[in-house]
Amino acid sequence: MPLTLNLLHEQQFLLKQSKRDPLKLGLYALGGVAALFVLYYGYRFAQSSAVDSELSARKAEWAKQEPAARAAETQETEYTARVATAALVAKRIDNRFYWGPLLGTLLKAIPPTVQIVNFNGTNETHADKVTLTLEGVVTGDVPRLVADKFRGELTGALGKTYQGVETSFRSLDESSGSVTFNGKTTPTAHFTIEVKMNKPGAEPAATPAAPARARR
Amino acid sequence: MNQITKDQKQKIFLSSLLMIGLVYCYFNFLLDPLTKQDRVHRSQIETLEGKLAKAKTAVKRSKSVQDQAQSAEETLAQVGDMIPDGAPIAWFPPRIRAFFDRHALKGASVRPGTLDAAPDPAMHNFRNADWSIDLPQAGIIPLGIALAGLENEEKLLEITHLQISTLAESPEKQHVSMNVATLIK
Repeated sequence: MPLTLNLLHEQQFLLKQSKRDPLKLGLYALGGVAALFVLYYGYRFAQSSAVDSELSARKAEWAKQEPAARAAETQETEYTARVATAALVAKRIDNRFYWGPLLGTLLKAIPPTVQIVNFNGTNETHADKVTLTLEGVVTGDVPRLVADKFRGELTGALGKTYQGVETSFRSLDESSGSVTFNGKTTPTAHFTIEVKMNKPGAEPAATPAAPARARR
Repeated sequence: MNQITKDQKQKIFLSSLLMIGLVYCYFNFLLDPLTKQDRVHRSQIETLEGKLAKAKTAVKRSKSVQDQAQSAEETLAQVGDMIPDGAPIAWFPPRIRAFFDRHALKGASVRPGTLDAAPDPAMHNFRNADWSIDLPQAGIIPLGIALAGLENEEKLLEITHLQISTLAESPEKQHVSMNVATLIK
């Protein structure tokens, strides 16, 4: 085997050392990582820019919508107030108590044996019921019975048109006088009947619950 | 030969320091602020989207109420037309007297009562006026017809109290007194 002498050994060693220089290799790695970081940052920056532009678009839209929304809210308040006023006026008109038809019903319900001398009707604005007071004279063989029959008929006649009709005698007194009716002299009685009934549009009164049966 | 020299160790250490510095600076000074800004912007977008949705709903709702308001306006205009201009004392009593005269119920007298705000605050454009009307003589049937006519013609008027008493001197006639309430401007 021939003996060879490498005269470039020193030079080759230095070249090899230079190629394996940790600082140089580290810088290469650093450069690679930095390049990756830059790429990722660019990607994220693009995403962020998209978000930015979306935000700008929303801000511009809000700048347009905000005055319209404020104006709409103000208008809505005004409109709602007008609608409420109109509804209240319409309710007041619709829920009035009509006295003309009531008088018609009363006239039909009063028999010839009864004469009303005084009629008093009250329809308080805030009350739920209308109150009537009828004062009159009744005649018949038994005037009290005639008066009570009249009260029943009156309740029935008013009940056909009105809700919650309640009638009661405030007074019923036989009088000393008598009248001639259909050629027959009959005694008389004075009565005062109070009538209460619901106003139109008033909520009907709640029906009281039936009392529970007592256990034996 | 494979032994790491001191110089190489120092270089490795320096490279590591540089790498750590790069990573720290990248995350701390570049990526984190971007992420934070992104997060803030996204939450702002969400807030704005909520506001925009509310604004759009408000505009829609206002439009639907506007339709109702138009018919309400018509109602209020009709009611307004029923109330003449001027002081109520100047027009209401003559109007009522003329009405009863037309129904052959002569001699009606009309006196003003209280004048106050409408009971509901929503009706602040209107006031409530009470009046006393007195009819010295009236037959019950013409009275019934007249009252029905009055209630039909005067839609803003409501009779709050009605008293009918038989006259002793002529039983077929009645004395009528009533209180009425009207809406006025």
